[in-house]
Amino acid sequence: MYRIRYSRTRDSDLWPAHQAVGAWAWMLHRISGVVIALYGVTHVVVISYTLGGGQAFDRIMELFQNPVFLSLELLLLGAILYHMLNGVRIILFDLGVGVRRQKPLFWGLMGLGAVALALAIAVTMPFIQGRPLT
Amino acid sequence: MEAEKKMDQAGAWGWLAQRLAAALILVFLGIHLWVLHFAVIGERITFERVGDRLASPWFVALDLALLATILYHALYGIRGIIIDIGLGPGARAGLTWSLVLVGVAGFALGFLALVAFL
Repeated sequence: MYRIRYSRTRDSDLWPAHQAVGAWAWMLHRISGVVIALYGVTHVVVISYTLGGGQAFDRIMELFQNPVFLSLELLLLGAILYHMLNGVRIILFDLGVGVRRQKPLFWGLMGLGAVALALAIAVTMPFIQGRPLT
Repeated sequence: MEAEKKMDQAGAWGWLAQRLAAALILVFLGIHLWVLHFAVIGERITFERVGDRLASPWFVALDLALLATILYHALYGIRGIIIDIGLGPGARAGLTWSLVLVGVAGFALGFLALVAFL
């Protein structure tokens, strides 16, 4: 008979990577994590143009305030929402909540993320389509 | 043996801290994204506008707390990925201290960048 090891460590069966939906959800968690970390480095470096004064900051920010980068920011938001909501799932499992309902929990959280992303796309779309910034 | 046990304990605290950092980031990043990016959507981001918002010490504190928690969370995550790819226990201490250095440097840069608005 299959025996479950209950300690919540990496060689335990409760570790998220060792479950069917969890296996690729976990891989995607790491990929989105790396993407967000790379963005974070860029974000801090760009903001640090303030060290060259207000004009240097405004000049570098000008590069990013256009439809191309607005669209990329929506992709970034998608990665962040995925990482956040899947992270909520991981923490719930750590607390022993929802382990037996992990599939509906996963898709419920993803549905929530999809709604949030759709709202963000809706409010951003006019500016992607060319409405000037004020 | 004793050293191994010590490392396991350190690992457990590091793991717990990463989860706590995650919970804090959920709140901090939620506020950061809302106030900086969605409440002001369609408005050009300029030095002056960001400076006005940062006139409130609460927002400076929020951004610094966000910076610190994200650095810890991200670097701990990257450490786990590197270890899983296959890094011997002997090299772990070196990896950990390198990442601590990256974290301190990242916080210093972010801190200086932020106070330059004030």
